[in-house]
Amino acid sequence: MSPPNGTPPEKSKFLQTCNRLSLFLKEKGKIRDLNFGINAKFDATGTGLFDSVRSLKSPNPNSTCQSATVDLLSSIGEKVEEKPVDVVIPQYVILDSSSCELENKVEAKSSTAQMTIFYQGQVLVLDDVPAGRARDLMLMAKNGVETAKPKPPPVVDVSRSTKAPIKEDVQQAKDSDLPIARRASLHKFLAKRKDRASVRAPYQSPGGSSSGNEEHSFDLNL
Amino acid sequence: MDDRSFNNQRIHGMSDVVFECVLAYIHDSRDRQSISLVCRRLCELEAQTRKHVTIALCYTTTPKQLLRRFPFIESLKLKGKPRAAMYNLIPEDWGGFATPWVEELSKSFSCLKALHFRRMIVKDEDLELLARDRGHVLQVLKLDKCSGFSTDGLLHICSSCRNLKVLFLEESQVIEKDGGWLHELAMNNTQLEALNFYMTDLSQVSFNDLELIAKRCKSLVSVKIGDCEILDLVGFFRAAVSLEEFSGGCFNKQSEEYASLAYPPRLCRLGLNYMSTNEMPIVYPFASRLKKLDLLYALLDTEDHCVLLQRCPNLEVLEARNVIGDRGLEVLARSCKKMKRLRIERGADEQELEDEEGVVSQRGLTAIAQGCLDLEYIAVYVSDITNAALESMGMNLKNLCDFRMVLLDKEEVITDLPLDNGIRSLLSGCNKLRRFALYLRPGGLTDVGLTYIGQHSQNIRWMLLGYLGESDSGLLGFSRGCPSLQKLEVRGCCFSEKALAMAVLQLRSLRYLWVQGYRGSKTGFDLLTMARPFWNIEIIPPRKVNCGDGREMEHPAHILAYYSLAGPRTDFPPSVIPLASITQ
Repeated sequence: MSPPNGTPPEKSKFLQTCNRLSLFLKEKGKIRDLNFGINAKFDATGTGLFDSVRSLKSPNPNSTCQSATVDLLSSIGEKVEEKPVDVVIPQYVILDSSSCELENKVEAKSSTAQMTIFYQGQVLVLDDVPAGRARDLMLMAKNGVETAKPKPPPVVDVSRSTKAPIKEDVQQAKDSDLPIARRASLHKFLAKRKDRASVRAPYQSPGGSSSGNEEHSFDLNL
Repeated sequence: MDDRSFNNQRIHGMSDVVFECVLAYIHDSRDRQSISLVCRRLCELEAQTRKHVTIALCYTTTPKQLLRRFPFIESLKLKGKPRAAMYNLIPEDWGGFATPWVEELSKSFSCLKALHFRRMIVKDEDLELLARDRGHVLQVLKLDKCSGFSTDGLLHICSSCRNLKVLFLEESQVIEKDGGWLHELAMNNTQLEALNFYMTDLSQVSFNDLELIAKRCKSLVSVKIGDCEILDLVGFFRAAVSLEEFSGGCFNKQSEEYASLAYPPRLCRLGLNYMSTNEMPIVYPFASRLKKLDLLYALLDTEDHCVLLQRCPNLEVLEARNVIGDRGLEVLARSCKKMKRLRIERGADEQELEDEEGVVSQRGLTAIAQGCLDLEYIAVYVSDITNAALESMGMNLKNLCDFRMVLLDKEEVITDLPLDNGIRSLLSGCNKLRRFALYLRPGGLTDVGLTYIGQHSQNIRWMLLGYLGESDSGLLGFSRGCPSLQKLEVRGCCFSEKALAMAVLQLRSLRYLWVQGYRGSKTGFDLLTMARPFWNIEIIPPRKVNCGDGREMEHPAHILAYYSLAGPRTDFPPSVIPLASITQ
């Protein structure tokens, strides 16, 4: 399935990066260290990030979620041997050299899961992603970052490094459609008032005349 | 829980009977929390004597955990959907299901008399179970902005709960099949003190039943109903001799007919919907008695507000739309010196539908600051603002506990932005502030201003930040302060995932975060920087929402993160996605 029409340029760059790195990985034939810098305990035997997502019931294909299910995987390469995991408690995956044995340890269980990818403020939800392919994608993403720019210092001084793009994003925020939300009860009242005004005085300016002098009564007990 | 009768233990040399007696006088949950941390025996005693628990988010714990910790509670308040649900921002099926709670409450909580569900999904079966198992003892039932049930469920409650003192349904979405529930209430109940189905669409209720309730329930103090013609309530008003609070109803007939309407003698809290200029005089005979006035759903213009408010010197609580205008606020400041709570909501956007004077700006706020010195709560939608107005509030409103201001986006140019200095003055002057919401626009508050908020909010527990700051450094500066901040809502800001995650790690009291509108990271994994044990992270992905008129609006993604003892949710709908949580 080709990506949906109107795919923004960033998305297709991402796809290209995924493709390139997948091929690179397959050549190298080795799972490399993947460190997200998360300060927490890990369980090396799980592929937890996606297990927890998989533990959801599979999404309704007709759901109103705007992100289309984009199959990034068909162009990536052959399917990795499926290694399903049956884990009750969600765990984080840590991919270091010791987890080369990972695929051997894991028993054959249900194969695919849902994957969610956040990219530039957009969310992609992918159905039926095998665990191995998911691992590949994670590696591609990580390696994509590393090749693009130097690894950031542990405490990110965001102000200096991001000042320039911030201005653009502020501009985007101005244009972006996030209007001030109205409280539901008032929203309902204002709509009712509009209907009431147009029924009672269709030829007068709304709110102009006093409502007490109308000839007919308007029963709001609909 | 161990029995208390045989073990006359001593804690610090004092019999625990002493502590039991003392604990009966301690009601604040924070004080009780401190006590429970002293030693195991005090923890047990405190648990046994705890009467009320509020669970701010129902997914932070489980019914069984509540039972283990506080088995003898008499009153429980449970909240479900994020607060943003009140602004139609949260998918209806998000969650907050009452069922697992009702099942355990009905089975195991033998002392429970009062139940309050807020923004939760409650089913008829839940109400039926509650009625069957707890009907004989239930005194208070509040289904507050809930959905998922119908009048059939209410029928079960009203038939079985003969000791019900409070039935509260305000703003709930109830599927209406008939008005039989109110009839059952009228036939079975003589204890009712408060009845509220305000802002529901329940319209098949009979005013005869209302009258019967008023006759039979001598302690009836508060009644808030839906749209029912006021003239039909003449009998009701005559019968409800103890009534102090009334809201709802509507005016459909000729104004003259309302002139002779008599209201109960103790009525002092009032909200008359669809009341317009010509009907306003019916309030005059008792306006001087009024302590609370709700004009949110009235059809008055600015002049009307001025005329009416001048007659209400004892007013303590006012809710109105911004049609009240600066002029109305000036009258309020002059005439109503006892004001404690002021809420000014946003009226219609189209100019023709509201009075052209109907805008609130620094002029009105300054008047309020100088005139209503006892003010404890203010929530206001302004069209213009200055630093000086905020400084004035900081100087004068020393009792302010809750400040909420939204800058409307109608005007292109605002008199005095950014508001850095004004906000700093407000926060350092009003040191009793517990809740704070500021919703501006890009340029409204710089990173420096956002850092000021962090530095001067010692006691603030809840904050809403809307379109504040310029960059991540503002958020990071902010998060170095706010020592008491427990619940943070962020909307429309330009912060990155990484900064949000780092801010969460820095805010030492934070237990709940809601964000809508943020800059996603390149890898998409930056949010996981805040991953840690017992911290659930959930995403509501972007979605298109039908907003009526056949239009569709794009809703950006939400992040919801909170501490939980219950692990990740097990009842996610398709519209909500969890990120992994780490359990120990």
